[in-house]
Amino acid sequence: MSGSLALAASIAGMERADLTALLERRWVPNPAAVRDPLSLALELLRPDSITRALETLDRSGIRALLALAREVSPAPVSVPEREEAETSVLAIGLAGIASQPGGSTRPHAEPVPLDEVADQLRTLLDSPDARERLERDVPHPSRTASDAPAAAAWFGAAQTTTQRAAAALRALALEPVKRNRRGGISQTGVKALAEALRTGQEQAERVVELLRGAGLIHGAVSAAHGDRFAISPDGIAWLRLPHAERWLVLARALAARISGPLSAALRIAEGALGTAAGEVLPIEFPLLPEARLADARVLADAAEDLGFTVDGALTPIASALLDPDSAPLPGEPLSLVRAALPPIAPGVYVQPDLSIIVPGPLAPDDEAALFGVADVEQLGVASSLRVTPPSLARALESGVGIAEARALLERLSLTGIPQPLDFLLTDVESKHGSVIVFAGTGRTRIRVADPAVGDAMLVDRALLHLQLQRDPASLAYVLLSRLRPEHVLAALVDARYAAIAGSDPDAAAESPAGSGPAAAGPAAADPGPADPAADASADVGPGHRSEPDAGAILGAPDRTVTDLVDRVFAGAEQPGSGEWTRRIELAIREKRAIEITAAAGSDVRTFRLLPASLSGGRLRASDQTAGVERTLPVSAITGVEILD
Amino acid sequence: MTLGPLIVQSDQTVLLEVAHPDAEEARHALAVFAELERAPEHIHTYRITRLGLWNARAAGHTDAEILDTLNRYAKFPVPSGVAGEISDTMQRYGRLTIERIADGDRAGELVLRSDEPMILREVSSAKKIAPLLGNRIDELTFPVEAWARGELKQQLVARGWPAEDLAGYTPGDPHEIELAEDGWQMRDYQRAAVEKFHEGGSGVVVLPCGAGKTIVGAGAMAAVGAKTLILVTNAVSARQWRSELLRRTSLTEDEIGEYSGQVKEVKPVTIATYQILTSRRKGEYAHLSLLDAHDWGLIVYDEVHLLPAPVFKLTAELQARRRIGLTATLVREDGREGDVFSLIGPKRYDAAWKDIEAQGFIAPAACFEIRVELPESERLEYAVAEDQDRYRIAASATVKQRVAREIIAKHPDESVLVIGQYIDQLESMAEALGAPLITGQTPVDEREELFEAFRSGRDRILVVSKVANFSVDLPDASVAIQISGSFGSRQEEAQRLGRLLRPKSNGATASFYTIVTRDTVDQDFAQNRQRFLAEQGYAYTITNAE
Repeated sequence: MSGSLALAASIAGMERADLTALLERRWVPNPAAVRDPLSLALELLRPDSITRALETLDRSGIRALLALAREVSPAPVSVPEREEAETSVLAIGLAGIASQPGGSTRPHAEPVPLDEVADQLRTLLDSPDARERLERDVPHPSRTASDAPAAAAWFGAAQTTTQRAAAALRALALEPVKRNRRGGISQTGVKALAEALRTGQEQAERVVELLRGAGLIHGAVSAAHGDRFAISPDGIAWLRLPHAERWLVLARALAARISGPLSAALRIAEGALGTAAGEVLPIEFPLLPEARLADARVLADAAEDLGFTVDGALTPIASALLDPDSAPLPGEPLSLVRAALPPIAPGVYVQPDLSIIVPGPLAPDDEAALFGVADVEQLGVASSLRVTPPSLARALESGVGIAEARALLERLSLTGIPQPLDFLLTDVESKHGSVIVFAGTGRTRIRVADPAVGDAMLVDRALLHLQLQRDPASLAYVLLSRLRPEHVLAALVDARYAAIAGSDPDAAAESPAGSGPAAAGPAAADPGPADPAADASADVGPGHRSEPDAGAILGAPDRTVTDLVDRVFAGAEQPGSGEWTRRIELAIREKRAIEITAAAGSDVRTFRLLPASLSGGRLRASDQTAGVERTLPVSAITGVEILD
Repeated sequence: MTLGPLIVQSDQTVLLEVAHPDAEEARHALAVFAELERAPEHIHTYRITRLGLWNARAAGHTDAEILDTLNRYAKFPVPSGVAGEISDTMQRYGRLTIERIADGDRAGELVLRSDEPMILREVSSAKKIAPLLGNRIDELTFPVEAWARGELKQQLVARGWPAEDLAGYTPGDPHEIELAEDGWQMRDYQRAAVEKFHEGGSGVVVLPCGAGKTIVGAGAMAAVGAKTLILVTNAVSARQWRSELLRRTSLTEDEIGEYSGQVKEVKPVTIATYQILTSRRKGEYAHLSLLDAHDWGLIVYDEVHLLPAPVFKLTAELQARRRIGLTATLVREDGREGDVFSLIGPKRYDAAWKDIEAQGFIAPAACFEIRVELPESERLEYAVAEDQDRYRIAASATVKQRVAREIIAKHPDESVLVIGQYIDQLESMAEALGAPLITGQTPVDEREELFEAFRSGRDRILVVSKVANFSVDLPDASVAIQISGSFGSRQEEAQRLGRLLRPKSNGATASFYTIVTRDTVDQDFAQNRQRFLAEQGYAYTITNAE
């Protein structure tokens, strides 16, 4: 027998706050179809909606449903426990109450099972894994927040992951990475980021999730990069924050993701997030799918990476962030974090092997400048960078001059500039601009200062694919290629020519009017470096694709919830033809008798009918008492009650 | 935060701030369990590895001591993951032992034991370990055949349960060997290395190039006092060992045999090359009988980081004999450090080269890179060349001859080695410099003659190919000019530099030059070498040729 009426009766009897809470937890497949309690009940009894609700139902709720459905519960439960569980399943629309004649509901009515829910629960419990999880006892937490090691132990992880997050943002600002079809980061993107962060791919993915959760990166579609993850405006702002603030942003975003079942599991595990995700969650929520369990484990790993937990247990600062009311520490989180993290490092060590050791956090501006002239080798409490010819070439391309780089290193270095680094800086500076690649009219142009170098390029086996030709029209030594400037530049750098991207130094003298990058054909796009901020803002436009929203899975967004509640309440207070029509249709589908109240002027009559069809605004039914067929206009109906 | 000299990173690297007042103490404490990876001027990088921790455990250190060291010297709190990993790793060592049953029916039998049945169950059910064990004697004991002792240790290390080998050694045929400390004395660190080895029974001694590893070998032979088989990298090295043993010990010509491609002598002390030991005829090792030719009481493995893979296999069957490995580095380019640990033994002694240099036992060295331009005609040849020919063309730039002459002129009273990779280049360089040339084709006797002429000062300049890379003792070389190399090999760089590190009679600093052709692959490879040398802590200067 359908549970629609029982659920509709339950919904109709709910206070506004209760209905709002229900809708925040339940997925409504088609919100537009909701007009009144019955239509909402029909939506909530769709199989997908029930499955989602059951998946996040705890073991006591499942037992209560089994008991209601008169199915054997794997373990006996006490009366108060059962009553509490019944109330909770009622509250989330997984049980109903017996409907009363006239559609009224009794306060504190006994819950009744819903067939649709019972069927779905049976199907889910057919899985041996789910049944086994339901039968096991919730593990006692082996480690709790009170076992957390010394408060200082979290900061190493905090510092390392904050550094990695910053490095990932810088990498994404330089080159956004592709998204896969599911909206996640592509495999090549993961590899590229893992390389940039000098870490494993799993850790790189967790860093991306942290950044994504904090809104520091976003999926974006742009003409230049296609569908990619790029740094968001918030990400650009985050890079300007000091380290303590950076950490706090990430930690707050992570804390916000600890909700629903995981939050409940965390309470049972007494603050041991690792235990909650790995041990408690699958037992306390036996129907939670493996993908959700895996997500929780990844979240616990990310928390450990971030120093939110140490050895799986929440740190005092994390506890304070999750539950500010019961924070075990006095003071507000930012000052606590600032006090725990090391101060700004006094400088860096620049070594003869061209490595730079950064023994702690730097001021954001110094950090940005230093990472702009050196490659990352290791990120951690102390970070290790290395100045290389490509890193300096990159700095030059981004507009940082060698003199500026030298001044930066001199200012930050605790140990001066070693001779090999001085030589490298001078060498790069002397070669800078000797080979310039730029877009010309339909062709990429390479201006070479030394003709001997140009002659070597023309015959260089490593450059044959560029099909270089001397430009006979140019007074300067200029070579032409049909390939795009970025390909030409990459090939020249690979072949150890000191090439940089730039613009035509003789453009005014040589270029015919209308030529230049803007007029260049498709084979010669502007090779100039992308401005991350400009790119990010350009990406946020009509082409922006919305992210899959975890909130949408658990419940409708707030505005939709309020709207739905309003409609249901309005429908319940003034039931009209829509409500009667849905009840009649339900009775026809289930071949059930109904009691109809119809009015014609002052004549109000009640009929006991078996409905046959509803069309053209008319109900056709057989009157079981009179033994005749009746046809009634729906507009005359003032009440419909489905009979058992 | 203690503001100490160490920063312990979550990836198990440890940074040491050299200028910190406590750096020296911290360095000594770290050396017990961490491997030095890089030692540039200001910050040294160590890595805490499983093998390093097991080496420390084998030497009697505990995880609590190691954590105490880190906590005492760390600038910031030690990451909890690192502390956990150290404890977990160290507690794995010695929970399995290989022993010999002392009495009863099975007296003398070799067994694998543990007080923890769970561990024994885990390892005995492993696919690669099960065939190495006999039928279980009781819950805590499995019999082990003698032949399986080495392979079992290898497999247990690979599985993360290194066994402590307490089964002892066969004494071997006794043979009296004494050090003849006549006009020289063993240095303290050499004596300490011998003592540590002898206490442990077998294992590896790590000393920098030029620190006198041969003398440690001789000391170990004297301490064991038994017939000894010495395995070395090549015939020239074999001759060097022979000459050192004659000079430093009571051994006579009649007691020392050479077993190499040229000579096949088996005497109470036999020096054999790895190559001859691993040479095959019709698929079989042709000279395996050497291993049983005597009841050897000691086997010496020279340059153990170069031990060829087949020798590991043969060594696995020699576990009843005392073994000493000598090397400048535990790092192997093939990554088989675990096999050295399980088959030769744990590290018994390690001395930092900076300590030895400070004591004046190895010469300080300065490194220079001189960049030259490829002449225009050669640049075109380079440009049109196939990838595989480019390094040869760049490395053989003719302009290097002029630069080499200029360098030699700057060191008028010093002996100079010119080292290269390509025979054509070396021949024309030798001709240009008017110096003798040694290559792989030079007969051993002629090589020795030329080395001797160089040693005695008759020839001030010697041009050599890569044959001079290993175990050639050239005491008076104080300048080396590297004109080409094996594509930037770090090992080769270490060996070549090692030729200069013998202490100079006048205490002078050795000079190590590399001539590099700029903007070519030669420069790429030079970058690897530069990084390596700077990481080793040598002063490094780059200049353009005039």
